[in-house]
Amino acid sequence: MSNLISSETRTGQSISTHGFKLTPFSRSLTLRIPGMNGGLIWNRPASVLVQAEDGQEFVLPVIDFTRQVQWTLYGLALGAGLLFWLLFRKQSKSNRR
Amino acid sequence: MSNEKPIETAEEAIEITPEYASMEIIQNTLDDFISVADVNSAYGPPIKEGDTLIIPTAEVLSVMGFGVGSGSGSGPSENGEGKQGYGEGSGGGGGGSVLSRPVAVIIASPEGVRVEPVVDVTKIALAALTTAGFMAGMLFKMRRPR
Repeated sequence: MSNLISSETRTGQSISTHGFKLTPFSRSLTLRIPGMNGGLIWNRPASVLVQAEDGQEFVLPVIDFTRQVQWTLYGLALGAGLLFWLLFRKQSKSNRR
Repeated sequence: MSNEKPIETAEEAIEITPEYASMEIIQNTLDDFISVADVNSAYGPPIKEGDTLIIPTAEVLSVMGFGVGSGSGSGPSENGEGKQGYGEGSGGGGGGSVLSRPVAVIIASPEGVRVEPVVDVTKIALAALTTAGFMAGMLFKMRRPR
């Protein structure tokens, strides 16, 4: 199973600028299909570790805003669809009585 | 003593056959495919604009598949006389796709470091239209008398 799907967090080379040291992190998902030559790799930025000169450290997550909005809208569509179906079912039951 | 020139490099030692060449192409393609998982494919090279340093980030999706095969066979010659004919062959093929989409931009300035998202209005508009269409369709279907 571990050979089929594997997830890995990788660290990039640090960049120093304006007294900050930025270290990028990316997360990759690798999918291999057994018995077939090839596969799928999905690589996306995860976060950036910011280290200030005074020793302060904080992590800035890299958020995919477009994807979040897309999934929210699709979730809304599914939720509304389910709600309509439940309301219709209730209505048709009361009409039969 | 032989008059043959001694083999000095690895390239000389390996006979470049069509199979070897195709394996090399496959190996190079595989190396390119695996390099997608590297952190450098998600983060672009930093761009300096005045006092500000901008690092673009992107999501990369790579899909690849390939196959190789070979075969041989024998049969009677074309006119049915003489020796049996024999033949062999090999081949391979593959395909793949790499999709990349900007996700956010990291901005480092003297004021601090911040992450600004890249908003794809077209994708959001398409998702909104799909949602609206689905909801309208559901309502229409349920309000229609059976």
